[in-house]
Parts: sequence; structure tokens; C-alpha cells
Amino acid sequence: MNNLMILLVLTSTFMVSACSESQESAGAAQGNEVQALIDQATAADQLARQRQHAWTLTSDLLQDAIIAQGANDEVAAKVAAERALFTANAALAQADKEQQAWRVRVPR
Amino acid sequence: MKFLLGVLITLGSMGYAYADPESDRTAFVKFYAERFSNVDMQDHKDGAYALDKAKRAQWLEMEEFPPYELAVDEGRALFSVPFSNGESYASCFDDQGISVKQQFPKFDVASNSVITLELAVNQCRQANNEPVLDYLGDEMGYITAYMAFTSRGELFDIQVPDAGLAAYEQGKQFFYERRGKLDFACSSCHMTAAGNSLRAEVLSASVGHATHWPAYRFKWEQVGGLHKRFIECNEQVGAVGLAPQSEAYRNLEYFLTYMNNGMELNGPASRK
Repeated sequence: MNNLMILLVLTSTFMVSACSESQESAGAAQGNEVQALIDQATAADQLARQRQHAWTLTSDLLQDAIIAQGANDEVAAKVAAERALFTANAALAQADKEQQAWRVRVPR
Repeated sequence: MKFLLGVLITLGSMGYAYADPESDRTAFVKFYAERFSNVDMQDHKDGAYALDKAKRAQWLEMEEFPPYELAVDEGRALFSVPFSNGESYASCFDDQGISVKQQFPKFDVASNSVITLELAVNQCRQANNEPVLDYLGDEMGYITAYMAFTSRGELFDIQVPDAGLAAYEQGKQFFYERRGKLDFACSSCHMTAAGNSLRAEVLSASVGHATHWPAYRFKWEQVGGLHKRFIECNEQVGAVGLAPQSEAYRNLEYFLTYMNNGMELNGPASRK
């Protein structure tokens, strides 16, 4: 009976430990994903700045993502980083489109 | 035959990229003449106050005690203070720097770039071993306000030499390109929507946009230059503003001022 109790305690200890490790690794994976999103958004924003087409919203969203990441709020950080990447890419798409589109606005 | 075709295509694309600035200006002026047939073209130098009678009446009352007057006085005093080497601003400009504002911006072939009055002021200081001024600071506003004041009544006659065509075209492109999350170009507000209201403000016409700088804006509580307004405009549409006196803004000023050729310089001015 005692052996059974010891076995039960050990098993549950291993299970808790494994669960905690898996949560930690999931958290680390999400942290890496958020960091990757922030890096991508920052790079796209820099490119938009070089092309004189950056949007102010992207900087605000990147700032939000970094603050949330610092506060270990990975969910909020991911949402802000994804939005930052979206707006940075939208700014680049605008720059591409405007490379020719401006010409139709010139009065003749 | 292929060579001839190539030459024709190249010439055609050059023509497309580099339209004649004077044709651009004629079409630009015609656009506003048709849009505001009841407004004298010269009156556009007063911006939105040329388009709204009530606002004009308020502004004229304000002009009786103009808020830029102190800036002109400060600028006059600063302009005459000799640099530590004994030289002064007057030594850097034609005609001792009096009544020269209407010549700016100008294209400098040697540096292959557009030189604005603010840039020339700082180049003058650098040449005389003085620290450069902050382009958004009070002192730059004072000095350029004084220089503009000495040019009042002069007509703009900006030249675009062949070497300056690329800069002019880049400025033109910037003016018509949409930017920011609102997807607005300068022309969206000041051509397409000129004369309409955005909340309580009437949108001014771009013809006359470069005549009255620097300006005292009540919003700024200081005399500021055209590039400060460019930054503000860009940010208002959700675009990141560029550095004052950046190449892109100098080229934009070059284009806009060329569009104002033949108009009277009336800076400094006051604006809400």
C-alpha cells in the first residue's frame, strides 16, 4: 500500500512537472513568434520610411506590442504586432501603387 | 528600325517623366481659375482667407496687430549681429540679404540640390564657423520672417534649369502621391477638396501656398516655416513626417513655389 502511495505521488509529481515544462515551452514559443512579428513589422516599417511612405499608426502599434511583451502579455503583444505588420505592409503597398498612380492627378 | 523605335520610346518616356514645368504651371493655374472663377488668382496668396469672407474679415482685423511683428523685429536685430569672425548674414546673400526671399528656393547645380532660404541661412552660418540653427526653432523663424518682410511685394520667379528638372519632378510626385493611413495626397485636400470644409476649416488652394512663409500660427504659438507645415500635413493624414529641410521637402517646396511664379510674396503671415 505504501509503495502504491509512493508511486502515485511520484507519478503526479512528474506529470505536474511535465505539464509546467510544456506550458513554459509553449510560452517561449509564443514569445518567439511575437518577437518574429515585431522584427518583421519593424523591418517593413523601416522600408516604408526609406520610401517616405511610413504610417504613424505602425509606430504606435509597434510601441504597444513592445510594451505588452515587456508586461508578459503575449496575447496583446501578438495582436498589436500582427496589426503593425499589416499596416507596415499596407504602407509599402501604397508606396508601390503610388509610384505610377500619382500621374493621373496632375492637371493637364 | 529597332534602334529608332528604342529612341522614340526613350524620348516618349522622358517626356512623360519630365513634363515642361511651365506647362504644368499653366494647367495648375487654370485648374484653380476654373474652380474659383470668382476669386482673383493673386488673392490666393491669402490662403483660405481668399475663399471665406467671414474668416477673411476676422483675419484682417487680426492683421491690424499682426502676431509676427515681434518676430520681424527680433529677426532684424539678429540679422545685423556680426558673427564672431566679423562677417554677417549680409555677406552670404545677394543685395546684402535684403529683398532676396523671392529667389528661393533655387536649384544649385554645384551641389545638384535645391537650396531653400532656411538652408542658405544655415550654410551661411557654417561658412562663418557658427553653429547651425534648429530648423523648427524660434531663431530660424525670426531671421526668415525678417528676410521675408524685406521681400514683401516682390514677385516669385523661380527657375528650373535642366539640371533641376529631376528635383522639380520629385517634388511634383510628392505633391500628388497619396500617403498615410487616410490615403491622402497634398492634392487631395488642396486641389480636389479645395474650398470645401474639414470640420470648421476651409481648405486653401495650393496656388499661393508658398507665398507667405514663415507664418505665425496660433496653433503653434510661434513663427514657423513651410516645412513645419509639411510635417503637420503629413501627420494629419497619418503619414510619418520627414525631417525639415530633407531633400524630399526641399523638392516639394521647389515644385510648389514654382507653381506660385508670378504671385506676390506676402510673408510673414498669420494663420490660425
